[in-house]
Amino acid sequence: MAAVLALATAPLAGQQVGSTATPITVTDLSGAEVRLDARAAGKPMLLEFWATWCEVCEALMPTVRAAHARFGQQVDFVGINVTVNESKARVARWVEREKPPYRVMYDARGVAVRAFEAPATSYVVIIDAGGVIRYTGIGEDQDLQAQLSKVVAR
Amino acid sequence: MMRSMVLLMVLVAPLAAQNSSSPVSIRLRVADEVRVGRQAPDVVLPYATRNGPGPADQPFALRKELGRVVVLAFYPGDFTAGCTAQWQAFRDRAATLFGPEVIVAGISTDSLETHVRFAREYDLPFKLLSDPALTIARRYDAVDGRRARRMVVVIGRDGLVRYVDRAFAALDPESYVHLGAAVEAARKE
Repeated sequence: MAAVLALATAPLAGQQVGSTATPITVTDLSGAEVRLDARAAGKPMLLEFWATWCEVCEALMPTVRAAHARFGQQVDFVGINVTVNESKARVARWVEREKPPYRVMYDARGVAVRAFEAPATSYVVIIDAGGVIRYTGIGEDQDLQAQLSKVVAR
Repeated sequence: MMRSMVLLMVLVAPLAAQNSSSPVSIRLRVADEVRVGRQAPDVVLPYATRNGPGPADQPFALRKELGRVVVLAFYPGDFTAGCTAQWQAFRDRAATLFGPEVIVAGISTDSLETHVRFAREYDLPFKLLSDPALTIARRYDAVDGRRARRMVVVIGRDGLVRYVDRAFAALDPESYVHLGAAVEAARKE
């Protein structure tokens, strides 16, 4: 019975806080491949899964900008556009206009979405320099600076 | 935990009697009740569209849709980020993803009133079914806690299940590619 319960109640497989992030290769807006591997880079990483149509992402943006202003030298900020209901041209226009404080990836094949099992846009993942996931969160009310303080201080 | 154990024991007891040596296979058999090639369990639920709640005496009934391809899309809730992305994608790609002859029905625990607001807010041309007690979601093994799990089922004109994605990922472009291919295959049969 214990085996049945474990199987029935186990969370879906995915990268949880405390687990090691799987290094992945995604593409940026130019189509160039980019390796996302905090451990290899030796630098913490903040990933945000976003879309141009995401109102929550828009509400979260000031928080991301403030976090970048404080930690941008120590942390690699990466924005993963989820590409659902998007076009590359629209994303490019948005990037040109908004100048987001992160490197923009265009995840046309869903590589990052699957790797991190991103449930929704505005999903943020913070990975420490050892490649361990230290935070995941969603929504516009995320205290990113407090979370980044923890990985920068390690 | 005890309540969960009791519930699970009731759930698996009939099957356990048939196969007491392998609890894992018991769980999988329960989950596999809805699978490709099998008759889709009937669905009878009240629905709403962007025009308002459907007639109370004429709920959505899957058996009445025989002869048409049906896509059932279980989802956690109206107005949540992932679900909004999914339904916007369904709306924007309806012509290529489904085609004009395909019935697309969303199923969540939301009320008809919430469904109407959701459908109007995002101009969704679909029927949204209300399953507050998760009655149908349980029948399809599409329950996650108190909500429906995100899952899509494609049902052929003969009422047989043609495709099941038990972990449809709203933000994964590949999920839509696979769904579109499954619908197209079902339409050609």
